[in-house]
Amino acid sequence: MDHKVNGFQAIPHTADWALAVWATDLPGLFIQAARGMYNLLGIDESILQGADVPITIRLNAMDTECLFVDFLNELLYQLETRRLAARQFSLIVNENDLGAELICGTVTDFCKEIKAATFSNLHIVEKDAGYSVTVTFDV
Amino acid sequence: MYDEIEERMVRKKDLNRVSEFEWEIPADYRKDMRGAVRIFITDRLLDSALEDLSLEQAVNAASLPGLAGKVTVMPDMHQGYGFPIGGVAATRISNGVISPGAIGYDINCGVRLLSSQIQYRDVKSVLPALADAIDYHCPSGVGSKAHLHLNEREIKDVCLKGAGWTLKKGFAEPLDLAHTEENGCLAGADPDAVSERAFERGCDQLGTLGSGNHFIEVDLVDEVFDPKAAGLMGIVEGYLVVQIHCGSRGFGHQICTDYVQQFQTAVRRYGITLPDRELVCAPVESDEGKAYLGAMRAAANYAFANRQILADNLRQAFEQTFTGHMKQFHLHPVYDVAHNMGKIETHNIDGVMRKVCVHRKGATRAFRPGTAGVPEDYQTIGQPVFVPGSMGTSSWVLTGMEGSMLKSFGSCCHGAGRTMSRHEAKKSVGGAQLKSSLEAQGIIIRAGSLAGLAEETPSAYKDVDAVIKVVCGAGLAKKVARLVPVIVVKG
Repeated sequence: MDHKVNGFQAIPHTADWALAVWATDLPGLFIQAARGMYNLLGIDESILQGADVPITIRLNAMDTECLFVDFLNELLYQLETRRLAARQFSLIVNENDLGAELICGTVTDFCKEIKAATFSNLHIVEKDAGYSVTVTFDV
Repeated sequence: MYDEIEERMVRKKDLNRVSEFEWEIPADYRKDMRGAVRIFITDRLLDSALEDLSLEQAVNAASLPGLAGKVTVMPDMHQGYGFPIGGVAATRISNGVISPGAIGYDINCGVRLLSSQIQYRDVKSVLPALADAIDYHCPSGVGSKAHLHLNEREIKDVCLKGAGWTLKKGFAEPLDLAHTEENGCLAGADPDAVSERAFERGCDQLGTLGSGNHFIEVDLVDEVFDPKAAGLMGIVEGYLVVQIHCGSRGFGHQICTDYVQQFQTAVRRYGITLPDRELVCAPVESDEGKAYLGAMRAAANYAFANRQILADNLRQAFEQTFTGHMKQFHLHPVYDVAHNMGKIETHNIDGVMRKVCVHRKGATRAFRPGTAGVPEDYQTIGQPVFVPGSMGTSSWVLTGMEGSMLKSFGSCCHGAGRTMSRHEAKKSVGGAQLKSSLEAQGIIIRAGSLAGLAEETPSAYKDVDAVIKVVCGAGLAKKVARLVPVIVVKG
């Protein structure tokens, strides 16, 4: 895993989906996880349609890992109920709160579903080069 | 990360063989365990199970406060999130906990079986039309919307009445409810414990199949092993039956999401330490525990209603297809059973009958003959259990046996169990190629997504016959009939 750049990679899981994510800072980690989750769902810029829809998200939680899972589940909720996926992200992440300004597009057609982002074996690790985490999604 | 997983994985040397079909991880394997882990499995299936973290997750489950007896794991086990798929854990009511993650996001995911008086050989040429009719009448796929849109009052009514709501609305017959676990309605559901978001997600999904491993499958009854039980269920060799596999859709997913989030702070409040945060829990009798139980039961009732409406849609598909071809095309309800559920039940714990909270995640209730809760007309044979295979292989109808009450809190397996990741499955076969291959075997496929179809390739699953051999060999269940697929409809 190269911590000099931000990124994500799907890793094997017997039944569900798991994603290794890394970034140089915490907001970057959250954004990469979101992009990775969209990637698993087959959603990218090319399938986002319609005018930009701004969304503001404010979350409070007991720690950063809770914020991380809550943020991904918030995106899943927006996707299922409003068919919106983020094109652009602007995030501020502190230990107990998160503020996000997202610019979303509309997803008209996607063929996969994630039930939820989970806490299973989820540990956000901070090292010199940045942050990393592995997140498991129930599908 | 892989090094870390390698260090934590349970190895074969950590297990003791108990019998031909049973192994055990002793309670002293790890300090935080509150009981042993009993695994129903053969040598060969065990070797496969040791390749992922399912046994580690079972050991984690054994650390739940107030654990009663042993954690048990079925032969279709595989790695899940927090709790293994195929796992059963009972906790005491007085000082035990309830864990949403040990029940799963798809609350009351389950299987309904309907039998018919339609002989396969008489209708072979009409089956493509039947597949189209099922695909038309039963909404499936990601984001699929139901024929119904429920307002807030109606969805709360569904939460309280479950399949009973569908009877009132004309989507069910009285026998449908009598042949559903808990008569299609768990008492104690509390819509006030359900979030607005869950209602928002659930209001237009009642009567939809969803995606992933959910399916509707028309099967041919290939062989009957227990004629008495099959007769009582209306299952006849050479005739068609239908399976529906789905759950509580976004409604249940949101309820589990909400409570896994809320319980992150509850565990701190109650001083509970856990090896995996997905196992977060609260005392069964605490305000938090009661609220989750009420919300979970609401989702369970939603799922019972969901499968009932799909069954009604199926009846319409059969009527559309077979009217004019034959007189007897009505689908008879065999049974409807959950495999992701938390239930308060009474079981024999170390010789004493105790009320416990049984968490079943990817495990089916399998009560023996004569047990309260088994429908009146099945009292002599035991509760029907359905074990779907994969799209190209057998499925099984079983009945619960005495062994399940003694060894697994009245539980049995729920499927074949995955052995290959979805990514690997897609690499192994293309969706179009798989569809052609299944159709060459005489199985008609209707799938919303070919990529999704490839993820469910039969080669991604264990040998379901080997799984059945274990549960029957261990005395948890008895064979009634083997089914083979002729139509598969997936989202």
